[in-house]
Amino acid sequence: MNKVEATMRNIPAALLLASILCAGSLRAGGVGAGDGEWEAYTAMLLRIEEASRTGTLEDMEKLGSEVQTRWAAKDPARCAHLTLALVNLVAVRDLKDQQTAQVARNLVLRTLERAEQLPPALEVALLRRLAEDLRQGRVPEGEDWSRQRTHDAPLWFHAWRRVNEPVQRAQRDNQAAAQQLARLFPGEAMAYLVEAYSKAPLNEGELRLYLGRWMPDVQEYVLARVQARLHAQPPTTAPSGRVDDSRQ
Amino acid sequence: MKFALFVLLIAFAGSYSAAGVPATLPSAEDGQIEFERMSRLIRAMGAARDLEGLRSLAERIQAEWADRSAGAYGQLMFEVVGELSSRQFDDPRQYELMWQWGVRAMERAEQMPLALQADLVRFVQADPKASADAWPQRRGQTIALKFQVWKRIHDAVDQAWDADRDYPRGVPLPPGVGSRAGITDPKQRQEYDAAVAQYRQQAARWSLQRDLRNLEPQIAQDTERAAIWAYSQQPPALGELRSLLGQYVADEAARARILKEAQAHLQPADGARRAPPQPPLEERLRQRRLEGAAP
Repeated sequence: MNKVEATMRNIPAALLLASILCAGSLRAGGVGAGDGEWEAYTAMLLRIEEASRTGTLEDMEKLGSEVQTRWAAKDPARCAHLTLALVNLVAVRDLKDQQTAQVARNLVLRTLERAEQLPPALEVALLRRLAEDLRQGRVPEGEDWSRQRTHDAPLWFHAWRRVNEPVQRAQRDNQAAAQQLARLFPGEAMAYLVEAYSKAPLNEGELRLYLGRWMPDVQEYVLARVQARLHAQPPTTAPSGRVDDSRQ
Repeated sequence: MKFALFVLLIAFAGSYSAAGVPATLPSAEDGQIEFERMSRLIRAMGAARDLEGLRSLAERIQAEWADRSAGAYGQLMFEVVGELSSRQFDDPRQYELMWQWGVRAMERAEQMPLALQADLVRFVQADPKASADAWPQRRGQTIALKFQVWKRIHDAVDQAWDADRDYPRGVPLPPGVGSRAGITDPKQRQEYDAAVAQYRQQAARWSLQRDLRNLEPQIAQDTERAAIWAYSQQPPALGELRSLLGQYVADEAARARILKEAQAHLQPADGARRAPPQPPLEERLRQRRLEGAAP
């Protein structure tokens, strides 16, 4: 008898019984301890993970639709987590395909419709998918891009305002996370805006309008960075990036 | 893919068992399915950027696997801390959890395959800024864990092993026989089975020694770098480092080198920075994420 067999034979019966019972509870729907919502959530995560290996675009759309139907109104945070799992696991396989990228984008945008109900970190995580599309060149050209940018830019200002809200409003046990986000996100938002508005067709007027309305402190800085990018000359100092709430 | 990983894990754990390093294994087919399921869930939870979800999974793994199969437990915890290390959660607690779960999993390290110990301990990193008051104690704990793994791997390397001389030779069937089933003489069959069993042991030992010889230089380099970096941070604790080196590092030259480098790069207490030693790769990646580099 080899060591593996010996180990198997020496397992106490009670442990085996416990393992079978435990496996049974997992099969019944996830790792939760009697929490039906948790079980439904983990079961959906497993379906998404499965689809990341074998699924098709139609599967992704179907899963996305199910996620929205079941969680969007009832639990926007879990809806956002599941959407992130979908786009990070499933869509990422075929994002070069225009149709897949569009489905992923639509899922993110639908989830962002309830951005106000999401923790800011989740709102930011969803926005990063949009920024990634831009960085990877998965955005349309010409007027289609112009329309998309007009739609997307305000989403960034919305998140920017929220991460800049006084940290006292954050849950007490999560202040460090709120501070970290408030420190890091303005740079990301400005980088997105600069990249988005450096891409033709140029529209400085729109960017000036948005900045003036929601982020006047950084208006000149961001506009200068767009110009510098267009002429490949980065400006030197960055302002704070604080929001003027009075104009929100 | 995950199933293949699981099979590999069992094979690997078995090979360490054969060399006298204890390894417990997942117990039954149900455990195998459960392991695979948990592994998939960890991956999905990381992709979902659900820090609380990952914490719940880690607690579940601790409760259900720690006493059941050290190898499977270690592998699952490795996957959890891997997700915590590689994903951006926008929450500094991710590194706190990474440290906590990494240290906790290492409590069972001696029952895990050595390669898994080496993988797991790479994610045990204390941060002088994030853990503030706890840093001096965590530094000692972290570096002690790294030294322990290094020592176990070093001790498991058989210096007398020779890759060519010890290469396992296959067991030929008796002349005129096409397969084991064709051996009709019970005594001859018994001898053949014993020879095959011995061959398997030799093969496992050969693979283990080959793997350990590849692993040791990597763990030595990682650990040396981590120790120099940690003990060049404030507050100075070169006495502690000296004591750990004496306890775990047999190589006198390595001991002297680590001490000298840590002392040479000791950061001044006034905050002025000296050119620091290069931190370990995981630490550099973590710092880049904290500084807002792209996810």
